[in-house]
Amino acid sequence: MAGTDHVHILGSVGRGGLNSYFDVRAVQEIINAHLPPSLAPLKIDGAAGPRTIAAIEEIERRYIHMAKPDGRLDPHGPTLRRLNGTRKSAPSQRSAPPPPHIPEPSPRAAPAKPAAPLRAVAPASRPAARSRPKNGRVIPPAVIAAAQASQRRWKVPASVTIAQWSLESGWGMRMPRGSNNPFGIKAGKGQRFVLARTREEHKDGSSYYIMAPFRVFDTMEEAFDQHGKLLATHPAYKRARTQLSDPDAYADALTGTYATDHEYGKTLKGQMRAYDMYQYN
Amino acid sequence: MRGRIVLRAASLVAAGWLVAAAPAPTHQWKAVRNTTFDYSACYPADLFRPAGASLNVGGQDYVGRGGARLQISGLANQYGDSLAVTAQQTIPNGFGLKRQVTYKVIKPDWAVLSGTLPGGRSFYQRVIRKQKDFAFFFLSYPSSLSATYDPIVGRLGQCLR
Repeated sequence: MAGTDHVHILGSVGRGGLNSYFDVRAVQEIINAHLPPSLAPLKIDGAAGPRTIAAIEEIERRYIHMAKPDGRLDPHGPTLRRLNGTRKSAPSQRSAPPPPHIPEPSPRAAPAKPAAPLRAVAPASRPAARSRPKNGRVIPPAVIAAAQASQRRWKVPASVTIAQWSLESGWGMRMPRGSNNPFGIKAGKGQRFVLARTREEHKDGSSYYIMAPFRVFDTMEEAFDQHGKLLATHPAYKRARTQLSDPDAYADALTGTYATDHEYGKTLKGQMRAYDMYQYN
Repeated sequence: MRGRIVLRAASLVAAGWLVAAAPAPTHQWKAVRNTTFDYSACYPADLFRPAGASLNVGGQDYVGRGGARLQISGLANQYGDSLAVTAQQTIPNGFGLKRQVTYKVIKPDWAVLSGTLPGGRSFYQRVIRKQKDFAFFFLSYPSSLSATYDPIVGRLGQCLR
């Protein structure tokens, strides 16, 4: 992705690494941003394949003069530090998602209810200044407020909600157009949707992609509320509901239910720790 | 069999891209526009009718005479996937179809695939890039009705913009 100049990963990427989807994508993006002339740009697909590993080895040889490159980037290892240190500008600040469309009457059968612009809401109990973590990523006050409102109503720990928001939407940058749906909630029968690509896993862990309907929400607050309701009422999350007082255990209990990724809980916990999200509970 | 498939593909191509040169059947074409994905399209209203009020804010399904189906829709591309992958994998996987592609053109900003589906059906799919996202139509119909539906694919493709 153009403009990527600083990344933070939660687990190792490359040969023998944890290779979580978002970490691999982040590494592929920063390698492309610092691409040596000998390498072709990597496909940003979140898969640590041979080309990604070869690129890591080349980066290790070129930038930190590693005699025997191991083809793996670690979260606090020298190679990633070097890549982050070679940035040409300050660490990127995630901005709010682009404004959604303003629907107009269509000659075709019109959607039942148009998506409305995101509405910023005042933080419920935390000042905005506390939403700026040490590592440069910004949690918008509206997100914190919506997660806390969801916790008050549905008991879901706000830290878990915020971690899911950051992972599922790429800090608000990867929502399907016009959806106000940062959690990747699929549409059910009778619910408005947009079609978007989603990743599925074969039994052997390999990825494939399908086109699926994602729910459309009028506002981001509605999305957070429905996310809380889903976790608070759906039978699939019964085990998680026994862990309301322990955000880490709650996150673990979402593994295999909210997401098929078997590292999902671990990734959420890493996100909560890295960005001190526990303070919002 | 292979010869028949090639012939079939050739006829679809001819129908799709050379139709302008032939006297086209007269249809009542209706223009549609989607503001969510900022695309416009058209469909023959005498052959297809909307399949109810659409819950898809990015598009609409249509049902046609003789069991034909037409979907015109936007497809969000929040992960920055390539048009080639989207056209050849993501969309067909989404339909869950085991299809045989007999004609394929992939260009930087558009892609066309056509071929056959189980149950004696044919399909024609066109995908275009719309800024970061995509718009597409997917037409399927009983192959026995090719005389009716082959001639419309050219116009369908031309007005998807």
